[in-house]
Amino acid sequence: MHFIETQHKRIPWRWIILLQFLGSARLLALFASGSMTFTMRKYIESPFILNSVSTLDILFNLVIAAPCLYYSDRIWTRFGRRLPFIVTSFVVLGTVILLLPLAGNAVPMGVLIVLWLIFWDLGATYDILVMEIVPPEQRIRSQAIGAWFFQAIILLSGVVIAGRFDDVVNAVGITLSGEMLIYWWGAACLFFCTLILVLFVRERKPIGPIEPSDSGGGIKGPFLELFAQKSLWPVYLLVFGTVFMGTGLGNFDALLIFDQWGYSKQDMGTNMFVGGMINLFIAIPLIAYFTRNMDKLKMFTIGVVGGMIARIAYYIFVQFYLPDQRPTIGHMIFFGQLQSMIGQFSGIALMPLIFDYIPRDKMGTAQAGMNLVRSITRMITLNGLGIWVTLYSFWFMPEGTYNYFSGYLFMIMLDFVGLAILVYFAWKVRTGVIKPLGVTEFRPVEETGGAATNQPRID
Amino acid sequence: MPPFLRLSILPLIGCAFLLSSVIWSQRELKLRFLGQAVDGQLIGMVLQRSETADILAGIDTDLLLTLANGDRIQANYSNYELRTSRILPANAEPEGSANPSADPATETESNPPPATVPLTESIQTTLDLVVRGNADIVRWALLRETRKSPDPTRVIRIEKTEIIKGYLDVTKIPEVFDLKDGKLVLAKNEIESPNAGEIRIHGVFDVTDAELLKTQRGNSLIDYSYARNGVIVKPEKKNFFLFAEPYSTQFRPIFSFEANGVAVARLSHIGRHGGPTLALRLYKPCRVFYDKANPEQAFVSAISGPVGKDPLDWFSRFCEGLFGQWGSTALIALAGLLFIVTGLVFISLAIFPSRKIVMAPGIEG
Repeated sequence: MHFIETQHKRIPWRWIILLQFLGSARLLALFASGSMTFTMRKYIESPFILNSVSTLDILFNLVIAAPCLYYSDRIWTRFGRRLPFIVTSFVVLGTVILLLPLAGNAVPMGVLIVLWLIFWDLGATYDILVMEIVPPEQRIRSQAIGAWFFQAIILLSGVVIAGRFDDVVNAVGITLSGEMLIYWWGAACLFFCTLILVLFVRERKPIGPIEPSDSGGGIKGPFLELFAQKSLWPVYLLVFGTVFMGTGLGNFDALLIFDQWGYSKQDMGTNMFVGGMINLFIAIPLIAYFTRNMDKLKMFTIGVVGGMIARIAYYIFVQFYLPDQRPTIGHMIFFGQLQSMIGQFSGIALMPLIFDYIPRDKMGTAQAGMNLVRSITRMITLNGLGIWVTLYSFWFMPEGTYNYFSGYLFMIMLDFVGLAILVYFAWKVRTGVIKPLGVTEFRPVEETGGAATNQPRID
Repeated sequence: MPPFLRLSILPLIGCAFLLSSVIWSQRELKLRFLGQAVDGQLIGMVLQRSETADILAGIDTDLLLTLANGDRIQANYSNYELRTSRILPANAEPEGSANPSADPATETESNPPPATVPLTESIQTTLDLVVRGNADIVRWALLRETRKSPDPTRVIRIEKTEIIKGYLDVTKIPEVFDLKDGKLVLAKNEIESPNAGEIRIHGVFDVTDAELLKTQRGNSLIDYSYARNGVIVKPEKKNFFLFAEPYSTQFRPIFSFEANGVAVARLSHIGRHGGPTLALRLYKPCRVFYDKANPEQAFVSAISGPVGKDPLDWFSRFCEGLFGQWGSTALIALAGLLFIVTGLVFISLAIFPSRKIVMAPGIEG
């Protein structure tokens, strides 16, 4: 059988390899879309507008991806329930990225980028489709194969693709710019995905009735429900604090290296490649070794405070130690890896720690609520960063130049705010006001004398 | 759709991509594997705009560095090669370019290049960076020197003058150029070219006046002029010749090499938007592959050189040179391989179906 289908108990490993090809092609298109910062920079000067565009992604995540995910559970068409969303998304994305390098000015470019962000979120059901194809017992190995493919993509993107943006090749009477090459390569990847999905992937109708779509007023009901649960407010506070501390430069990261520090896009690719290799062969094994027996609160504290110290150290090093306030690629890799390694401590500990404070019967609601809080907070911080860099540059920089590195000052301030929130949270936990309900209220089935079955809960 | 047709779509598209990659780089592939390889040099740069182009055929650079103790260092370069350097005491007047028409081609044993004075390593490093660098490089160099305070030999002011000789506002760019005494010329008889011209760019970077620096919000560029054939114009960016253009300007190097005892100069098929090519650096050596039967058919390839002190920088240069040349071909071919390999796996599934598929109970097929 040459069709890949959903709802099998066991599937051939060749299907998994093919799904990884598909996933990798989708990721390559996503990596290609990373060059949109440079495309926007061609027409847009203002850092505020540049970062605002990237926050639209978060907005569409809320208003497009969430409803698509919700309704894909509740519909059935002759083409399936996930495929119609994904195929529509990939066709439009492929067309958008094909046209993007031909946009002659800011308006069509802006429209195309917004379309890209909207239709990327329309295809959010892709991951669920893959999970429906790969049965649970084969998912771990599938993920492991996927991780290997992911590293290969980083290598390819860093070494071959990232540095091509400014290149021009004149051959067979055609002038091909690097921008065209990158986006059209991304489009080829998306059309490759579309062809595979249309020609070789089939959804099979699952047993049982489709879930009704009447959960209290469409999608508005669940959104309101998220904040009605008072027991989840401390969790949202914790998430709020951690997002503050995890804010990055966003689009400015590339502009800082390229525009402000004068490195080439190939240097950026080298940074990405070497960093990825260090991460793969040194950082991840080291973290796994150090964290094997560590308490998660301790891990989280090391991650949060250490990350903040590393960021401050980087700022001081560049701003006050380096004579020309311009780090080398080696410095960038060193501090980048330092922050990434320390960040992994909190990354590993964060979710288990958060779930300690979530009652078992509210995990789904909490997850949705956390996503919402995370998205809204990220939107606020990224826009704040854009305004900060614009104002800082307006006040302190020569006309027409931007100091993207000043964003680190904003990030450090957010770090302090986030730390204050986390200290407040810890104090409330110590005084017993916030309780780890996920731990204290949990009674294993064995203790309650019940059978370990999938019986639904009866309240 | 019949299975045969369905299964043949991906391999067919893959083959089309592979064929496209070969057609796309047909000339370069042929020259790379069947052509003659020689060492060459990058001798010029075309700045191609939408309608017209400027062609750089030679560049003289004069640098005047002022130290904190009042001494000045004057260095004159021709095509980025140091011709003369002098240390001028605090009160001495700087001279004009010691050898304004310095031309390596005209140097003979009886007319050797003027001697240079030995400079400290620090000053030499600053000069090496500044002579090829853009305005930011000069600013950073000055900033680094400022941090040396109170070293009396720190540089506090840099004056850089670039004189570009070449052809301005050219409407038709030739693929092959002529060489006259080793120097790039647009036409065999230069008198016939109305486009011959000169651009003079002068920039002064100074950190001595704290008040002015504050007014300029830290920008040490205190004086700047850009003159095309003597007429002052305002470029897109206040920068030196290779860095003053808008992003849309395409930079294409011109390389020269010797084939069958005859010097040939040709326009490169690869270039870069917004600034000079990174791996193919002006007046640096390069590798040229040409057709022995028709030496004008040639392409240039970067030499990444030894690894040196900074392996990361070398790695960037190596990737830039390799993929700047072959990146587009590699990506088109890779897309083809992706289609072909995937198509073959689907074909293998049709011919040798797996027995591992287990149906979940109660699912509609």
